[in-house]
Amino acid sequence: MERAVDSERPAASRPAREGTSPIPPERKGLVSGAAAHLEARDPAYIRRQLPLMWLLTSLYFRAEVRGLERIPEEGPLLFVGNHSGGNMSPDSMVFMLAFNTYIGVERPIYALAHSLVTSWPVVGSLGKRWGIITAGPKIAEAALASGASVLVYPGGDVETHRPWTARHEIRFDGRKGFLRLALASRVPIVPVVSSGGQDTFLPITDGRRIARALGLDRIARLKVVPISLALPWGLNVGDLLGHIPLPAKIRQEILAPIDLHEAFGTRPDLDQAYDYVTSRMQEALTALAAERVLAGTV
Amino acid sequence: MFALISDPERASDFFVGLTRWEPRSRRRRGLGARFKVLMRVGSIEAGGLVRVTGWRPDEVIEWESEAGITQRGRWSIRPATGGTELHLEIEFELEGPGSRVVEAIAGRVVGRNMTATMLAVRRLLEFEGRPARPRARAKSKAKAKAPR
Repeated sequence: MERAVDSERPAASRPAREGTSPIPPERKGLVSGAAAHLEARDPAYIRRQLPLMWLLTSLYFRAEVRGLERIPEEGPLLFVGNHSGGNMSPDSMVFMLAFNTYIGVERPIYALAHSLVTSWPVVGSLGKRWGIITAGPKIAEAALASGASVLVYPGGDVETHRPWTARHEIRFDGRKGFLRLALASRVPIVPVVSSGGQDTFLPITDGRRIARALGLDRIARLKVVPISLALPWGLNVGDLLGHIPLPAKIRQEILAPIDLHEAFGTRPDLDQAYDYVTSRMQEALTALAAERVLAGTV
Repeated sequence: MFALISDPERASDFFVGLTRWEPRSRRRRGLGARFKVLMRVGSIEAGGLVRVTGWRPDEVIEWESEAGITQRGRWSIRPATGGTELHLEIEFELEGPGSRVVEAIAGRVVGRNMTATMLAVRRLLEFEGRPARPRARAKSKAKAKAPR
């Protein structure tokens, strides 16, 4: 009887043996170049870090995450989020905690980050164990092909350093790589909308003109030189060393999945798909912002 | 009483804080049945996959985790003077830095949810159920056990 019951257990909920490869043998050839980066994710390490993350998100940011039940139970997914909070990115922390506790550390998820984040000495190596990888279309495709999910912030540095006055705006800056990735990998997009991150510091300007004048885009793939007021620096130029985020309340909502082929046919118009995804996210962000009575508090 | 607490369809009617108690096996009741279980604790919904490891009709239901948060739970029904006593115990274990503090804080949240759950069972059986049903006495026990 016990054996019969065991066979009923769905494959998606079967815990992966910790320390083994997340890539099924039949996919090994396809993703061999990315395997080393993907295999750095450490489920046992993530499980041990969850209590500390819970303390930070529950007590410090009073985070509230809704819509997790909308996440499909099986298959790779492309989570697309709006990015806030400067280089400290509390919204990513909240989402990674919520995903790993709701779904379980056994189902792999990778978060794409700027190379400046992944190359930091301590943050970079700890981040790899959480599944944070340097953003790039090839490694993202490889992660999805391995059956894992991927979290991407298309707005990247431009969005996370947008001024406080634009805190309730989705700002993807016309970047459509995430759409190409979802189409090429034939995975649904799951929007993740967060509010409150821009209240954890006071971004004054994203400094795009300064970045252009200094040629930072060519040198370091940086489109901004953000200037903000943040702890402990006071006036914070660049945010390269990060800052101590203020304890603003973070609200997050996971929206229903979007299948681009289903919504826009076999050859979707990228501009139309971009407008659709960003308008869905803007609608949700505006609704979350409407719940905020006073910036950073409730 | 046993019919109520063993019915996965009705878990959301009385199990306070529970956001999901969904069957994950063809067997929906009894020994070996598996469920996806989630409870809201602070900023997140925590839980995982559990399997029923003990099942004695009108006496005991026990479950243990197979994935997600390490946990064990037990409903037990005991005869008492003038009615029936219902007990609910849930233990969970966390690992890593900060786990003791989280166990203490989250344990209080889970404990309050369990007390509210017992009150809900009592309401359903004594006030909203059929008159022939036995009397339920609410007793709950939340335990957080740290790994050694």
